[in-house]
Amino acid sequence: MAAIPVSARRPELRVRELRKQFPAPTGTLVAVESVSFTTAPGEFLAIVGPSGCGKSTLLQMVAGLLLPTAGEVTLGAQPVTQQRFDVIYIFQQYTKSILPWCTVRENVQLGLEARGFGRQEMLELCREYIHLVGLTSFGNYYPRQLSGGMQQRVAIARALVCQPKVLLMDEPFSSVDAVTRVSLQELTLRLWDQLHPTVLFVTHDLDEAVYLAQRVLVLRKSPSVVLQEHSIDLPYPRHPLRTRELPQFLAHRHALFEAVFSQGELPELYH
Amino acid sequence: MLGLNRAISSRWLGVLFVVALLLLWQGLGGVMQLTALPPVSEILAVWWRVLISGELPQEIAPSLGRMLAGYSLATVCGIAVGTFMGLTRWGYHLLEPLTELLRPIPSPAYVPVAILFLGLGDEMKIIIIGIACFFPILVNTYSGVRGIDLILIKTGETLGLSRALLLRKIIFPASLPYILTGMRVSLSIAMIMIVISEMVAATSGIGFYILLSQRSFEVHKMYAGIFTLAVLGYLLNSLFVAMEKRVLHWHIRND
Repeated sequence: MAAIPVSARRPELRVRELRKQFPAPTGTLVAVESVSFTTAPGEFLAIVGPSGCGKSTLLQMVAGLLLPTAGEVTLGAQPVTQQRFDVIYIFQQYTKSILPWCTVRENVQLGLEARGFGRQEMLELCREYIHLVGLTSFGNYYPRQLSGGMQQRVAIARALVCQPKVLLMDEPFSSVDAVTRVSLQELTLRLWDQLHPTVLFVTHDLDEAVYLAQRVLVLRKSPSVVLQEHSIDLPYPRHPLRTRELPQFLAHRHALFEAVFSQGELPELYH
Repeated sequence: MLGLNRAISSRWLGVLFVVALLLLWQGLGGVMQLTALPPVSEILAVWWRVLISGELPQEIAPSLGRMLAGYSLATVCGIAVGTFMGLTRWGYHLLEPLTELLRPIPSPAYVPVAILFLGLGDEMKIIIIGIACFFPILVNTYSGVRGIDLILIKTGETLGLSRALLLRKIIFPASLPYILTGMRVSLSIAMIMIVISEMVAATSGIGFYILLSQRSFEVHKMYAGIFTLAVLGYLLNSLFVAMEKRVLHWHIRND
């Protein structure tokens, strides 16, 4: 039941030898050395790595929000910078990315306004997507009246209502409590199954990566390169508890753990 | 018992203090019999008379008109230039030194220059008020715009907002608390400048009225003019605060 659409409408995302360096007091700081990968249309790809391995930098370059020093990102035949409407980024810091002066509906509407939708159309789409993320009666609420998890739901609705071909999620659930995180993970899988965008999901939570994704890339410590690639052959729909108890799940998590922590994160364990 | 008393009376303490001072003034005026300090009851009577006769209102109207014109001019220019300085590095570097050089000049110093260029008419006063009100709005706007969190801007970018939409939907509302702070400061500056400019050169207006009354020994009317300024300032500020509260309902003030 994996949602892998074969629609030609959803082009593949190709990241080629992406590099980012910043000027630093002592010469240059290479945040991302050279990262390449390709996603199939509608694929759910997780990216994990030690903290500070340049995951956010990488993802912002994929989104076209940050100019790479070298390399390119293409969606189908064209560079991603020319298809800004097709790629949307969801930030970890929902408190900074949800507009506090806008209601839930006005927040969700933002991308539609940019795309020139009519008033009535916007209203209907907003209602539909606000309902889809489970905030049906909260359309006229202001963000400060919502919990963190609900605010992140607003961010998800605001992105998905634009029908992006690629959804980039940067540690989206790392600042919510454990219970909320599980429900947001379920929401993410459900919406992915319904709408099948390509998802790039950056996380430092290995459990989360294995649970959600079809494939996991392990990045090396900064300057980052792709260290390993794991295909997660667990069937969908996944179950928040039962899937996590499967021997394959544990095996995948084990392998990822080794890949990440063999990089000197826990030296006493490996040396 | 004492605590309850305090809770009830402290609210009105400030008002009572004003009343007490007026009574003191009344007493002193009666006892001392000075031309410069008539009893407050006489002033209030004259104030009432010139208010309903239309003598005072017809001076208030032009003052308010000039203030509004100068203040609006300053607001539009201050927000526009401030946003430009806040958004572009070169704009900031180009204009910041000039701003810091001009800002400390007390605005009344511009009056003679403005008279040279614009004469004694309304234009002169509007420009003077405009210049004086411009800088607080400018400075607050650009510090507000510069302080916007990068994530907010990037959110707009990733959602595909055009520059115009980004300005309207994100940059302007995000810096609005700062802009309004500047506008509030400028409101009292506008009051100061209208009085100064009308005292220097005018044939109408509340500043003119105060000075003329003093020169023609109509001390009661002079005080009536000053009382009018107090009430006007209070009303304008209350209006502004109410508007600010409405517009910034989403904003949590720290002060």
